[in-house]
Amino acid sequence: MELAKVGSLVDCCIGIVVVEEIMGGFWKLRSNNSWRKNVSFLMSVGLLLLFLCQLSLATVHHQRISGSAGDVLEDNPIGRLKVFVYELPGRYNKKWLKRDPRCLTHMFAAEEFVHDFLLKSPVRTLDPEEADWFYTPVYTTCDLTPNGLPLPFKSPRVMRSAISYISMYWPFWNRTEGGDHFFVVPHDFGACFHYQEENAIERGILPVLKRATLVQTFGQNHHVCLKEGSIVIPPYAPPEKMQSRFIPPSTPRSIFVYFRGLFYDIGNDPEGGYYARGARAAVWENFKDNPLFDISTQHTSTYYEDMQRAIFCLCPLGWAPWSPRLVEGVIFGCIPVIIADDIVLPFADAIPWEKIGVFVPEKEVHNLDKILSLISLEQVLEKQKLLANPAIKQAMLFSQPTLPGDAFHQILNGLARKLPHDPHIYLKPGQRVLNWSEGHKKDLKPW
Amino acid sequence: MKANGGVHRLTRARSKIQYGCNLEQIADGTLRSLTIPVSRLTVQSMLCFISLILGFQFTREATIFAGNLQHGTVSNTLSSFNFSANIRSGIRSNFAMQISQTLGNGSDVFGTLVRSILPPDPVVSELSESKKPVVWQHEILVRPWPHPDPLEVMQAYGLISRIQLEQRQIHGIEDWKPIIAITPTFVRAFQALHLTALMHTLSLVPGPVTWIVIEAGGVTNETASLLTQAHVHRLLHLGFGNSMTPGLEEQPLLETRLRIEGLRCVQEHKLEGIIVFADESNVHSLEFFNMVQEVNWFGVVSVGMLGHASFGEPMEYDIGALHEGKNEEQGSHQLSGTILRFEPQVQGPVCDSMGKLVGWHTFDGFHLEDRVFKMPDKSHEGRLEWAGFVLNARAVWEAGSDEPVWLDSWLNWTRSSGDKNLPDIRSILRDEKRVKLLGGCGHQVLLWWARMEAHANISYPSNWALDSPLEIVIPARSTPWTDMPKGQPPLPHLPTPSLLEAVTPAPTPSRRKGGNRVRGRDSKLKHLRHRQDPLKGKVTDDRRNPGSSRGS
Repeated sequence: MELAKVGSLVDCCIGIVVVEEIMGGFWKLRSNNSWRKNVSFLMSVGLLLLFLCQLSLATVHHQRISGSAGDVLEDNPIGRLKVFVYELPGRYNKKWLKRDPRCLTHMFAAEEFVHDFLLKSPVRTLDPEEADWFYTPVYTTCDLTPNGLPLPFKSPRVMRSAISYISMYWPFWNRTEGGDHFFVVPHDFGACFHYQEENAIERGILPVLKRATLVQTFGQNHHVCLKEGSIVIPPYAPPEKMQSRFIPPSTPRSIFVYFRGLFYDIGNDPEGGYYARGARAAVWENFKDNPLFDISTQHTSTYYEDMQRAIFCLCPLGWAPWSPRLVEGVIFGCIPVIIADDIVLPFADAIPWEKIGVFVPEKEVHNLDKILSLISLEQVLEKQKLLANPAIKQAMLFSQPTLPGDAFHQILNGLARKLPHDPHIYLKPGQRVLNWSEGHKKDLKPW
Repeated sequence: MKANGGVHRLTRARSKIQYGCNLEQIADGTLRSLTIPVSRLTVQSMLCFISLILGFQFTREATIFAGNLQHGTVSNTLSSFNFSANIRSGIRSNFAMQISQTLGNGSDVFGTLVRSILPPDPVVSELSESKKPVVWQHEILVRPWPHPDPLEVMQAYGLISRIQLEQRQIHGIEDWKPIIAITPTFVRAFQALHLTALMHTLSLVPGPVTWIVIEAGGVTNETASLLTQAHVHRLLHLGFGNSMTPGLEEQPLLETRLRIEGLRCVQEHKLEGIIVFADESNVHSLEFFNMVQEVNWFGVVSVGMLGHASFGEPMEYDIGALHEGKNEEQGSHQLSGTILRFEPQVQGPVCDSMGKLVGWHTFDGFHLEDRVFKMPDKSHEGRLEWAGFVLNARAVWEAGSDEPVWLDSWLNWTRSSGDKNLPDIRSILRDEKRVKLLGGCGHQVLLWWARMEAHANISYPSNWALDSPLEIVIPARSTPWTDMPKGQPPLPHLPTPSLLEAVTPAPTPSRRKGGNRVRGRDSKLKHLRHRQDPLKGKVTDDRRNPGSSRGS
């Protein structure tokens, strides 16, 4: 947030002034003790304290704003904004899909479905002059390995090529250098375009996207790959598949804690300690014998049904902090236990996640059973009531066909909340801010 | 699925520079024989300086070098330095693997040493050449005693049960109508059997239950003592009329009279809810009580009939003919056998394809003890069990305006039915087709009548409490050599080995006279097989561990 930057600048100035005052005070005290010198010394001490307080407040300030559930979630974006969809040639979108239709079913399918939705939505405008936001349909996560995992190595080049295309054929990119454009980048680490955290941090966000708004699934505070002003969305989970597996709500919830998934990633992390920052391994080692914890790596065909019979569902981080388990937990009414430090959850300004889920710091994972059994009944019932709210369930799904309040509408709401645009994003004609030769050498090759 | 190193407690290195300098001291120490103090200082400072620039990488190499020299494997040292170029690649996850692979067998110490060294804080590693952002290895925190704390487990289970209660209240049937169960009973041998079962069923109903028990011949202490265990919302124990006749023919009539007395009680107290005729010998499924909640005024259910009476003539069927299309080609596969085919033992409504009631399926008399009892009165043929009917309690109140037209008023019905000719409750209906068909009109049978009954006048221990000991049919097993001085003959009635296998033997005292061998036929009993030596005077209860001390 810009406010935070200004605030920190002010803090720095105050700090310098205070330090100077203190030094001056000490010098003066040495010479002669008069009350005036004492007063000035006390004042400087007071200013120092104020400076420290401001500093502490600045560090506590998070990006997460707790919205009241149901208030902003049910806003109707139609009429509040207009989106222009660029028509890119098929090699940026349709060809990828034709090559591999699995792109429509994996957890990164949000980019395809958002494109599809915007083409049919009433917020779409065919007149770019009246548009508030511009959308570029480029599928950067559709280059899949035979196993189905997306390879991000070509993605920066594809993105750069798409942007150079739109800047060539339409004047709107150059008008703001992307200030009123948004892109959907649902990859592991967003626009850093890598699946390994070290490499992603090293690359950073693609420089040409520096001024654009990013709609991504990754969210972690104080991380390079989360740009300020990004909209965090849930990963894609197939709505029909989940909604066809409901069991009667009167089925008693008899599982205390439920989790299915990997605890150790032998292939990529044979020693342990890297995958999930050791948190998943700690859960396994501590609670594999605990009767309250139904945790295992075995793939079961009754996964969705079991989640509906569980009270708490663990959502620990993996290689990236986000996972589709959050979506599944919300849909099936299982309270998510989020074990990922500093994570930013989807639509965090609209959904008060602290009231819905349980957040466990990674260093407290070994006390998970104590933490969960100490939650009072009223709190659990309150959380279950919030989860039963259909607005939240709707907000997590990319429904086909689209329904009011679903994830698409939440994205539009988020974009609408950022309007009106700051007039500073509009550049003077001929002014250039972005450096197109910035970035990794390999990324600069044209695609 | 666990990694090899996953279970180890991995600790973080403190200060890299300090550690590095310490190692350099170790390295220097090994070269002490070759150095003089001044050059030692210069080497130390040089190594410190280099480590500052190169970072942890150098300290690892130094460790390996030092370790190698300690173990005196010079060739390994050389090979490790050859791989130093690979080591500097900065790929941490491969690092330990490479080292442990290259160092080979004698390097288990190295393996653990290397794994316990963690890369340092990212701040310090920025000084390294590669300048890659570091994602470091984290400690897997394991509690020293990971077993669950019993108090926490109790709290968690308490939480689960409370949540389930809330769930039932929210998602269960809304507006649970109270159940009024009317049960006629009388003191007899099988009363305890039936009444206890019914009592437990009614206690499990998730909702308020008013249980009206009407006893023939007045309230008795025996029945009252059986009913003390009942967990129902309200219990009314009434007595009425004469005691039950011994003959089986008269029983249904008396029971009907008792039920009508129960209905009168409902009318008196103006009880609200759904009246269920829960006979003693009925077995209800809990789903039945959920099903009857749908009743507005009058409902019918199908009742299954269970008993050991003859069900009908067995019929022979050619099984081959059943698989018509399949076996014709196969020719030789003509299976034939007998299927005992019985009529479905269900009494209840029958509907047409539109789901409307067209008739009733019932039996021509009822069977008990392999005898068919025809009803004494012709008008009672085709009598349906009371248990198959469920009605709203308001139907038996004084005639109110909200009663439907097709339901006869209670007073009219009791007045019209004489003393002898008490029909079943169907006669209260003016229009039978208006009843509510529960359970899919005969699809679901959630209620059974177990026709298992003793005569009313057989004797049995009252309250099923035995005063005097029973007659011994099988004497208890005992060994012939217990506490008897030598010379005395063994006890007369020793059990034969065949009985031994059938009866679980009592634990034998292990004291034995020396030299008495176990009989060959007893060799099946394992604990005796091992006893060849005289005992030490220990008493064994545990058959599995001969000679072990008592208890565990």
